[in-house]
Amino acid sequence: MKKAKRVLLNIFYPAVVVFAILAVWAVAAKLMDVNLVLPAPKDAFGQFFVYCGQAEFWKAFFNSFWRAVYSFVISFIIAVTLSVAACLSVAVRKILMPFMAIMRSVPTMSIILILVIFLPSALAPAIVAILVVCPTLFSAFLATIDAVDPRLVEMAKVYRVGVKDRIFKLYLPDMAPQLFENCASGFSLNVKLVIAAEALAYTSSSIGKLMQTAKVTLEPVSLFALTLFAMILGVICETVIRLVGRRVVRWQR
Amino acid sequence: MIALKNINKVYEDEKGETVRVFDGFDFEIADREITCILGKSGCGKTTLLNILAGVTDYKGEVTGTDGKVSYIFQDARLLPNLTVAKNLSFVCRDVSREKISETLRLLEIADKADAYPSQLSGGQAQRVAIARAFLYPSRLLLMDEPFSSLDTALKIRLINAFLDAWKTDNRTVLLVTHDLEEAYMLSNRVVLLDNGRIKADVRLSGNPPRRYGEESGEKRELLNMLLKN
Repeated sequence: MKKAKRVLLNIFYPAVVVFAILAVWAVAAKLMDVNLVLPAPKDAFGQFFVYCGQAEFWKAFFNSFWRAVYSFVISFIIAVTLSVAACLSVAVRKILMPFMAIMRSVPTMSIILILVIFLPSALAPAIVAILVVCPTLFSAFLATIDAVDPRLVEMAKVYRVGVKDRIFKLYLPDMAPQLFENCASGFSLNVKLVIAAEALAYTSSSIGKLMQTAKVTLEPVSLFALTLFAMILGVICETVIRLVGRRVVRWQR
Repeated sequence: MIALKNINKVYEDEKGETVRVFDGFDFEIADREITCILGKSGCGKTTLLNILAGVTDYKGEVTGTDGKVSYIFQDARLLPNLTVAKNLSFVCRDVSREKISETLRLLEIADKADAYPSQLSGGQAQRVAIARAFLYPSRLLLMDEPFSSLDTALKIRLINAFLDAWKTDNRTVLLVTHDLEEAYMLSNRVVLLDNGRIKADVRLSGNPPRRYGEESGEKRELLNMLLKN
């Protein structure tokens, strides 16, 4: 009974939602009947499988994926370092908070349009992603550190527990669930930003450039197919990060 | 003898007003005894413990202690991601597994060594906290209303378990409580604190434990002291 309930919750309900969205899409495309504006799902999926057989497409896919990965890793490292520093020093916190707030409030499109002028097209998407995702991760990480149970922190202080043990046995395990959740959402955002910046920077051999080309040459079927790839990439990465998180936090189960 | 001399402690409350907790406070705690601090909320009991634990700043002098203290809090404060044995090792790094097992046996939770805190009852978790306090090499054990969240039967069992552990160890104990029965059952000496000052100081006859709920002249004297102040 428990297994049936798990299957229902984790597979059946999401599948119903996906099919509902596809059904709405198909009906809307049928009603509109203008392929240039809204292609039918079967056409988009058809083009999806055409791309799957193209070596050039996979080269672009992995370039974009690699760009998303390394820019996220850089954002993560910077955000962790700064959030730990902000936790340890009130002065650092007071300096960083307004700076990060300003960075978060700058419109993403402004950052993209400004940076693509000055940076090489291969580098701009990664820098854009770092500038947008890093402040978001910083705020999330800082909030997570601040939320560590203060009673446990006090206990560790009273009993003079060493810094290494406090970090690896108290802070990290307490923060792990939220940390992985923040990373899952952050990486998904990162993928979208990289692709958007690639489209505007016209980065060669990238998903973004393929999307821009599809738009310019009025091929909405290709655009929708590429969007499906981006969505699937985001969902898979988010799911993998969450699954890793659940294994790491196995004691919570 | 642990001595606090000319202790001054102020802090700012939520309204930003200065609250003076201790003003030239002097206090002595005899070695190898259980001293109980009784008093109403806000009188400075927990602040006194935090001064001795070194987790709050203050002005004045504390002598007779090396700064290392054990602390039994009102809640167990166990790391949820570590087993009972690993929780004890987290704090007592140099203590052997055999010593940990022996202490858990004394507190009647030897079978819970590999359990996680989520698998323990409230009383069991507090026994682990007591084990942690006794395993940690300190001369002074501080207790901040450690039995207050427990029902009476469990409280008595835990107090007896604590005293069994204390008899093998005999370290100096400073216990904070607002429960007269607990104070009478456990202590060699009872001090009434009010607004950062000692209002009464009573040495009880005999040694703990005394019977919970027992009628006695000394307990009546303590009650009168509380009511008068």
